[in-house]
Amino acid sequence: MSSSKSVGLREKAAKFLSDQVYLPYVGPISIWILLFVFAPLGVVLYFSFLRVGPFGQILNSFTLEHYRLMLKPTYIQVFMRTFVFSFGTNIICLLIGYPLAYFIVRCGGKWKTFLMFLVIVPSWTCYLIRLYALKTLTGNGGLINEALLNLGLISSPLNILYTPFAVVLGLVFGFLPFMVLPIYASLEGLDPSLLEASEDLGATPLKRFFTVTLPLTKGGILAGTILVFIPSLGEWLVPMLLGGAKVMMAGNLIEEQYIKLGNIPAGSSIAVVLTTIVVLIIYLSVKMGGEEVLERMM
Amino acid sequence: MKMKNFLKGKREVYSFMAGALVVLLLLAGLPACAPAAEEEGPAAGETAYDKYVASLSEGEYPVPCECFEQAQEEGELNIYDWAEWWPEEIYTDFEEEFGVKIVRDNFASEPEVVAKFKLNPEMPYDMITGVAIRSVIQIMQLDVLQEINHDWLPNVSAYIGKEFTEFEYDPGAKYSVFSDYGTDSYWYNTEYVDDARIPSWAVLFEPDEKYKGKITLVDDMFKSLAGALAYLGYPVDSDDEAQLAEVRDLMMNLKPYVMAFDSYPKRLALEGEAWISQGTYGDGFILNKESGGVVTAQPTPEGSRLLSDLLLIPKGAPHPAVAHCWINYLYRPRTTAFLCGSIGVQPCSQASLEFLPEDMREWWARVPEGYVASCGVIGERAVTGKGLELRTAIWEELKS
Amino acid sequence: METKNITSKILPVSAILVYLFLWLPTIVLVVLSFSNNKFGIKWEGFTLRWYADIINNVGIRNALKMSLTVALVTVVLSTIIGTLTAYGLYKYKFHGKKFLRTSILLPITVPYVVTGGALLVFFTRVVNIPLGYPSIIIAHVTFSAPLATFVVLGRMGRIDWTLEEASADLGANVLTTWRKVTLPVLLPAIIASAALIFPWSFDDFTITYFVCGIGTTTLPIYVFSQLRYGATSVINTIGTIFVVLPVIGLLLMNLLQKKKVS
Repeated sequence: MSSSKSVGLREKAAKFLSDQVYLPYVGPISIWILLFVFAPLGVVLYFSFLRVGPFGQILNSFTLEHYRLMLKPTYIQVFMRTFVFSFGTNIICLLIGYPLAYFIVRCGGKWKTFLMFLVIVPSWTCYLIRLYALKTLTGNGGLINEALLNLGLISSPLNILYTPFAVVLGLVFGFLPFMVLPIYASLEGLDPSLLEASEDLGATPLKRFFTVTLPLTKGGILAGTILVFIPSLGEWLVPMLLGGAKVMMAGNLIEEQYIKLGNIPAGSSIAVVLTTIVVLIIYLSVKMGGEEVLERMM
Repeated sequence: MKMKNFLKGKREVYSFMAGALVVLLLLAGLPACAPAAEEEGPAAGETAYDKYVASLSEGEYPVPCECFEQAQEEGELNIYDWAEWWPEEIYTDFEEEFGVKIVRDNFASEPEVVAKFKLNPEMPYDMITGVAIRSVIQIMQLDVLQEINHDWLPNVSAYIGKEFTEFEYDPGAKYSVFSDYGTDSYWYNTEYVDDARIPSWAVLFEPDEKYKGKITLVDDMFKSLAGALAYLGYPVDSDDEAQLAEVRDLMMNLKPYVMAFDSYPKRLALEGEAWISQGTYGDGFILNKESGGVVTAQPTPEGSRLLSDLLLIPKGAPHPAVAHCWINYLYRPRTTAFLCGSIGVQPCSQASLEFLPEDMREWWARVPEGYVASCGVIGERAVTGKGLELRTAIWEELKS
Repeated sequence: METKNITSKILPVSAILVYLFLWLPTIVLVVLSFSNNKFGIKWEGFTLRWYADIINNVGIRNALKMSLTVALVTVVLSTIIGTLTAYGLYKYKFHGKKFLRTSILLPITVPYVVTGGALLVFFTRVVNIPLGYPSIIIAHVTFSAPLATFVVLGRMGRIDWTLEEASADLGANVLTTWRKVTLPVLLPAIIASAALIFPWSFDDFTITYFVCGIGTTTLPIYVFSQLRYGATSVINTIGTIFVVLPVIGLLLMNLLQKKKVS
């Protein structure tokens, strides 16, 4: 009796195992994500509710204080700024990225690859160094001001560096390629016969663009938005280097709390709020069909 | 997420990436092919310790044999310090003399050191350099420092000024040894700045309309606000609500004048982009040597803040004997003078004064008698409890 | 017709302006890397001394080695994990598949500061993973394994799988099928993901900044410490190398291809 039962169990186990053939494939990533994504984020969530002692030690008692502190006007202002800057960056990237992608696709052939290459290569240079180069360029004694002064267009140097404008400029500079790429991909995937058909119907180029091309590349725009808007929300290097550490964004608050003040619970609460916002946006865009586009791009 | 699509199906790009990889690898490999330094064999009949003792100049005391031999076994020194600060020779000379390897990591701000200790009480360093008293206070609260064995530091015992071992937070310098000190000040560019109020802090904290956007403040909440407190005539480590409220108003009024927060705005100052910058008196010495137009004002009559650079050995340091050799080495009068002369700080040992460069001795001679003694220190009040809370609030408002 | 003319004129002009915007900083950087100016911000005559400086600079050499090691290990680990995951997601239906797919999106989209901060807290407070090579590599793989998954997954739909099925039908075991059929078919996708991950890992600053430890100064971390203290002529030089390397790679690739053709 008992042996037949154990055989039955063994068979069941064997069957169960053979049903789980996918495990060797998705097992590693599942464990990895559980260990190094969910667990750390869970820890951050947990710490964000803990009290801080007089010397910054983490105490084992529950508090909502860090979240309450985030309603301070300074924090709200920083979050608003983060949102406005990221949104502005996204719009600017779209406004200058779309025509560029359109231009590249229209050039066609060998040029297409080369022109796209020219968009990509700058992003291979160390990000920090590129920001630094932009800083050199926009400073009071930088090339831009010197050129404008020499041309007599301005009489005293323009204050570009260390202003909110410099921060947005830096964000656009850093993220523009990620807007151009997906739009280029979706434009390239368009069926030229569709455009021809509408041409035959006598649509003007502009009308054709707005009624045919633009709607067809909606996915590309959405993907570009995911690739530009989301990372801008978490950016902290640009405000620090180009904003002179006085135009903070949400990422700077987190860095300041974690690294400069060592206040892990306070930093964690900001991280939780920022992550929640990001995940919400991702969720919405996936609902709107962005995921498919994202995957197509990859 | 870069260039995904661009790479799609374009074989050229992979092979090109592979090419780039090969070049990178070659580049990294090149230095490794450089011939290794020849090793010296030990001299016959003479121990390494004897050789070391014999090599010392007059006025330099050796560490005890026990410490030296342990250090030889340990063979390495992991230092955590500021980037680009002390001259390279300080490290290479030590490496050569003691036959140990120095590994250095850099921090960009002192709070970063404290934060790292909070996160990771067992930091695998042997030596932390260049942290100020207030950071030491914070670090000592965490109980992560090793007691320093002064029997292993004959040079320190012989030369350190007594005033540097009698601080309330660490009497007898049991956990922290001063390497040097200085005072806070501001630099101004004579080409643009002409203000009758020089050398008062007022030039920096209540500037003329024309200096809008030309001022830099130190990117460190304690140091920055300590300057403002000194200007207003309050203790630099005040935790008084009314006093800090005044500081807040002063700083918020100053905000439109601030070009950037920068802890060492060397380039901005030298290139004439920043006209008035908060910075130390010693750094001012270095800048003035590079460009005569940048002059340092030692804030008077208000007085200033004493800045301190301390040496610490973390608990569980893997190479404590080498760390002791290092501290003892730094206190050789010539070494102290070389270090202080290169980075513009004041030595804590009288014996090294005669070895300081002439121009630097003159520079420090301009500081009025008794000035340093009158300077306050950012102490415990500022870095804990209410003092910390009020400062953080001002700082966040200022920078948001 | 008129609008067409206008757009055909405006488009190239605007494109040139955008290219200028993207390239001007880099061009200036390359030019200034040869300038004798100490801060590398003005032209003061030609010099090669900054190049000599970086060749002799032990700090830069070590940082370069560190970055290369991290990037290589990251590429190997993440392409292995990513390829397996993509294969599993593509070939099998299982419980929680949708959840897994969404979870894999998470590390890519969470801001770097949050990833870095969360891992720092996790490594130091919860599990005792030493800050240094292990922490940096784990952090990098956490970001890039999902990236590899999506790159490989995206290409699987375009692959002809009949050969693999045939191999299985012929009774070849799983390992043989993988070695002989599946891997060769997937190789271009794997290389494409590696081509994305290597530069990302090599260039990552933020995540590394949070989780780096003793003796693990990568090149971006080194650059950052330099930027703070104004010793910047060397920065132009490092930046130039970053730009020139891809171009050399491109030339090499061209040469290789020409050889193949002839």
